[in-house]
Amino acid sequence: MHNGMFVFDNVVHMYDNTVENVIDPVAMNFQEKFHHTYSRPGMEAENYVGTHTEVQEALVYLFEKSDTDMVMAQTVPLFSYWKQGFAPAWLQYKLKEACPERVLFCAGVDPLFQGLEGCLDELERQVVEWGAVSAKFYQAHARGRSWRADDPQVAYPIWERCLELGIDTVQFHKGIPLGHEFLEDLAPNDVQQAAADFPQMNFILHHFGLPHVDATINIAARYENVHLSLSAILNLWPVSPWTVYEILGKALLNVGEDRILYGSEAFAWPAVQAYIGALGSMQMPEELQDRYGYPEITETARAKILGLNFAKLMKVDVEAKLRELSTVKAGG
Amino acid sequence: MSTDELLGVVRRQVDQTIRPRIQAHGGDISVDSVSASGVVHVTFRAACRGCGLRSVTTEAIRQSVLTIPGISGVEHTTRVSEFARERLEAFATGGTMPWSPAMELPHPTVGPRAPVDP
Repeated sequence: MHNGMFVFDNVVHMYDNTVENVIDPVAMNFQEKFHHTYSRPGMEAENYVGTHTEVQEALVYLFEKSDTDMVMAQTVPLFSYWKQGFAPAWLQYKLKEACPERVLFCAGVDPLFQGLEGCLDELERQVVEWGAVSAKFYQAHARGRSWRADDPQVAYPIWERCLELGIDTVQFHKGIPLGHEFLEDLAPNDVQQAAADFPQMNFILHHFGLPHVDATINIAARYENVHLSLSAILNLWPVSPWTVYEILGKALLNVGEDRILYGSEAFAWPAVQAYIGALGSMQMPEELQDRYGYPEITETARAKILGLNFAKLMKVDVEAKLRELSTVKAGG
Repeated sequence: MSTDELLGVVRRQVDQTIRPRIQAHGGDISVDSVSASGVVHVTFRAACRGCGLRSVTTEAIRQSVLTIPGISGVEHTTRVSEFARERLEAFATGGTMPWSPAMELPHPTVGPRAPVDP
């Protein structure tokens, strides 16, 4: 809890950059440069080339050194740069197994690299065997290979299978190319028709599609089953605070406080508490309120963004969860 | 009057005054609830979803329903700053828009025309 607010981190990644997992280091190297660009003392990026996240280390960052109550460990099924993806499913599952009362597991599959049938089978396995409650997708890969969320042949069978398996929230990496993916393949536009055709499904778009920020906000404003995660956006704050104020302000003005989610992007940036503190005390500068009409960040909005919105999506009863957590020590 | 009765009054007023104007250009709204303190909650629908002019429409709704005894405000899922709300209120009521440094144009793009050479 942070100042009485339930903290539910929409996204952490247990990464694996060991030489056995890296196929092409271009994405790992670009990411590390990006992460270090947006670092400052107290909010440093991890030097993670050649390493992987340890479960115990992750639990300490999250539940001993920060006010985090719950997290979702998200698989990164990006198979053109890493054999098992930047954040392999099994490693996310290990974190969940180490602390099931606080960690939810997010599956990760890909129809291009696994084939549609392989993707559906693996999705089902990760749900049935590993208890996935959401699924993450990376649609753009190296050398222009990509797929769209509104493709009736490739994507719709995945959304249908998700719903059959009880998953009604799917998530997408949008914007922020990690390596040589094409920027246009990372635009959010394909989510529009999918959101219209699957109104019972919630679509979370990560990173506000940076640099497709305006398009991403516009889409979320018009489709009430589209949600926005501050993952990577909040992490810009130590270097570019006004960029964060502008993006958050625009989202609050056009989408509203009910569909914005806090995501820390640990463990690339492991100082989770610093980001909780930043969001927990962030104020919309009066100059932006005046010039653009961006609303102030109320305590109600802050509480929703920090945890209540994602808890609602994940059907977590916050009061019951807090009672449960008060009797359990993190990580057993 | 109970909140349910008040909700009915607000819906009738919105149906008669605001909705036809909104529906004329493909938009729509629904009046979802009225709280015990008299705050009306509306949801924008159809072409109004994501429309950049929702804050103007909200102000129009506010001006309309605030005339109903017992109604204290209007809310929807998005908010504007107090600076913007003051300007919208002045705009909706035909009053003087409060000046702000943010409204000052950075360059004198509007000014007296240069004399035309006959």
